[in-house]
Amino acid sequence: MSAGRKLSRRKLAEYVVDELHSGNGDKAIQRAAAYMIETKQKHAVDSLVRDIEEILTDSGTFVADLTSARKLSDSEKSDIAKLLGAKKLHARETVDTTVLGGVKIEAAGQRLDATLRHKIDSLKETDSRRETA
Amino acid sequence: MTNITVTELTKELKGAIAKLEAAEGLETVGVVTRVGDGIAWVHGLKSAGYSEVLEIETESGIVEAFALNLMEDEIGAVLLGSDETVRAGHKVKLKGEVLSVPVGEELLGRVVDPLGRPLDGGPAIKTKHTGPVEREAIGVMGRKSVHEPMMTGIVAIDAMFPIGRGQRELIIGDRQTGKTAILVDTMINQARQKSGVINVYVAIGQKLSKIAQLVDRLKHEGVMDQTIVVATSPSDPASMVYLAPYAATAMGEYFRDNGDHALMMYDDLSKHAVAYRQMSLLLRRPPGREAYPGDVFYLHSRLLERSAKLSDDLGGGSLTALPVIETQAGDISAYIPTNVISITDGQIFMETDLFYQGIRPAISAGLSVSRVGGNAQTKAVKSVSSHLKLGLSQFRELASFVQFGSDLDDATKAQIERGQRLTELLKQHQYQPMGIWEQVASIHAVNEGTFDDVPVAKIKEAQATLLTRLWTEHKEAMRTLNKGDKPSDETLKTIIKVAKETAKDMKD
Repeated sequence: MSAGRKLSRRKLAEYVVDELHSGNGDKAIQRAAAYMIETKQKHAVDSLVRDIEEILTDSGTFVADLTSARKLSDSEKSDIAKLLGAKKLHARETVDTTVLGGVKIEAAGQRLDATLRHKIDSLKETDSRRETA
Repeated sequence: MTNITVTELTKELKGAIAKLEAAEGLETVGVVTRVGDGIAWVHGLKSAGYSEVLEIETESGIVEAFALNLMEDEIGAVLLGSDETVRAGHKVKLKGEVLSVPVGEELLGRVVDPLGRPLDGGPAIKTKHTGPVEREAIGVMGRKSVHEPMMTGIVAIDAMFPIGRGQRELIIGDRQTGKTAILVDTMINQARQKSGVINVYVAIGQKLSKIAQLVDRLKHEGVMDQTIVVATSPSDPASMVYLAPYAATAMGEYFRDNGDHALMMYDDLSKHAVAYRQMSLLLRRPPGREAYPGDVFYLHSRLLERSAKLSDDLGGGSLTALPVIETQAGDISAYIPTNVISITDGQIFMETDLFYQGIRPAISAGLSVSRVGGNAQTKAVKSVSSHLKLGLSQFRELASFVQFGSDLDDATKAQIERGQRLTELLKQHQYQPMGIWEQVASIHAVNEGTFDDVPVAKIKEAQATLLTRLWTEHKEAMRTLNKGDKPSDETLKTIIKVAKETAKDMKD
């Protein structure tokens, strides 16, 4: 991790994931943060986090954003984990009544929008497309 | 919707919902990390393909882009529209297809943008087919050698640098030397001669006033019905200017693949290269000579390779290309001009000096060449114009000696006299392309020396009189000649006879 040839963001993400698996996660994250500051890559932190989440999915660990109209029950969450094929699911939950019903799952470059709001919007869109055509 | 019954409505609604359910599932999404200058950088979407269309979900609807830079960490995508509504953090989806444009006969007579959307204020264009913007060129076995003529109606070109269907002939010259005029005349000629060739004119970053003028002229001449104009202006995003020739070629290929003949006019590829340079530099690709990227040759070679004469098995259609390149101070050895010269099957070089001497079209006989058109030249024109190019080149060389004022022998003097008349004959007014019989009669009369005694200033008048007389007195013979076959001795004798009479009248 010493200065010299710049590491690619993906390599850095792979390093963090490796360390997370071997139990040295905290230390690795601190080192990665220091490296990003030193190599003036602070702006790419979001991308690094997404990279880490993406690599984690390969080993079955999913970090997902769940948006639903009401709080999800544990059984519902385990159903979602099953759907994603996740061994472990870390969920960041948001309750948003405007989605009306259903759930929206966003995890590491994947998305499943099964909310009622999305369905209505899509229906509206296809209808307006038909009108303009 | 008024005539739909409740049952039908319910059925339709159920159908729409079922369709949505079916389409539902895990989809791959990326995120816009940076955006600016018409370029969006996207994180994620590892499965994106080169030139694949991406859909960016903005607050004001979907903005499309196409992926050009596929890198380890991110994708560089060029937006097909304004970048104002796109922000970092917006989600990006793959559309699952490369960029396609509407193609078909419905586009004839229309002015469209590179995505096939109307710019002429007319109704929306609904075509049955679409064609991919980037498409591999036809292979060796699918091609046939160029053998049918593509008459431009310009005597100097049809006689000295004939163009065949399926050929790529470059029009090159400085600004204001009549490059576009040649294209317009060629389009008009297709309508006048009823050649059935479809014109596809691509304005690449041209001033809108110029395009409007051109479209007006085409309408006025009755050419628009067999023409598609694909227009981009300097205010359009570089991505649109970049796409214009590829999209237009897709539109032309439809006719080629259906056994028809189409003529592509790219006006001009210098501006296209500049637009691509802008995109490449913004995508952080390494600059090369004149700051153009390394693949600027491939940019034009893959475009022009799509022009072809198809084999009979594939329907025998053709796509001819007349790309235009604008040079700076007559420098044809600059980067882009040499590239395109080496790609094309010949070039027509327009000279500023000739233009200001009043020799219009200002075609340079020495620097222009057509490498494959000889086999495609109309037999009638070929039979009378075999020594034209050599004679004219020799004359231009001799003419510079005459300026020294030295004494000349009779043979040289005669050659100069003939050359002056030939030069005069090859002058042609804009929007007045000539038919085959007119070209043959004019060239034959001068070549045989019948106009040698007519003063140079009166050559054009003599030519006009000759053509009028031939048409009024020998209409049938001229109609036969216009079919393009080698003229009979009798026809040639008639031309000489009438030319001699005309020359006699002119002398007095």
